[in-house]
Amino acid sequence: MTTPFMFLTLIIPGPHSPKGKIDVYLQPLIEKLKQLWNGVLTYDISRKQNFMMKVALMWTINDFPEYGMLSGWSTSERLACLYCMNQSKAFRLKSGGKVSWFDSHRQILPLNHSFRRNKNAFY
Amino acid sequence: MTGNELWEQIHFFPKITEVGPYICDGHGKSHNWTKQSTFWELPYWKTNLIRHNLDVMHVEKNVFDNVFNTVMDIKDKTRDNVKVRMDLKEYYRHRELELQVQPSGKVLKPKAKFVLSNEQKNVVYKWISELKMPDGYASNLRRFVNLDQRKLFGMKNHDCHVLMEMLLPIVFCALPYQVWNPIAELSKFFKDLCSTILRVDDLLLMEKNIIITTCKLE
Repeated sequence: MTTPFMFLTLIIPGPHSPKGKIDVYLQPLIEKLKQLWNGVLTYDISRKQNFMMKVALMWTINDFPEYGMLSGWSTSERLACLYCMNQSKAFRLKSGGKVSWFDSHRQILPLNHSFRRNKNAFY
Repeated sequence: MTGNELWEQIHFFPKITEVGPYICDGHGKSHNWTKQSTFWELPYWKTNLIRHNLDVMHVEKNVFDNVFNTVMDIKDKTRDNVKVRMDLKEYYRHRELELQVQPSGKVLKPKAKFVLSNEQKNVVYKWISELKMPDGYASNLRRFVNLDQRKLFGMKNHDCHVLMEMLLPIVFCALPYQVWNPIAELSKFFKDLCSTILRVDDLLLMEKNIIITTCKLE
């Protein structure tokens, strides 16, 4: 994406992250997006006439904590993964206190992969 | 999950703009929803195929930081700290990595095989600081190296990107093969992911390979 296509719509003041309350800041943006989805008359300078402009939000690009704020599925604690959702096999480490996904990746391998039957290397 | 399936799960949660912050029933146990996201107000959000994307450069930087700090064994930044070693004996059968209590009462943290020795670290940092890159390819890597403290600091996203994709397999070639191999594959994965032309069959292959790589890391 180059500079002429960039478009600053919103600045959220600091110093703390708004966390889930980011929705409050997004309200005006959503309102405008809803309006733009139905279309608004806009002037086209090259054709010198009005046209109906419609806008859709295609996707958001964000980092992982922000993912939780935008999607509503919190990306912390044990159920942080948005693909496993509540099938996650993560657990909490006793002394580290952090959530670990240790040895929960073999389940996505194909069924006949040799790693699945390997009892020694993954313990 | 498709948008409609998600909507089924989520439609009865209140919006944060209407009721303020609250805790949903069963949060952290059966689900992790905190709210109904404001984006669901958009009429087309349910049928949208890709709703949220992760920033690759940012993820790459985090992965690089963790891998590099662990292999270089930088104090307070390595993921291989004392608490991890304490947890190790609960879940993992690696006796040689567990903490050992010395006769004097001190606790010894044995050196892991994925950590470079001090001489090797010196060689690596010296090599990075003497590297010459093509014009406009990367910023001057020498500025990030602190030879006395054996640290890299002040790296920007793009510097991590260059180091991760191009230099990591070379930097860590002193490691034993079974450690070096997954790291190199990880580096290759990010390199392929960031290339300008992406082909679908390549992506499928990469998807398969990266699962194997994650398993190898364990």
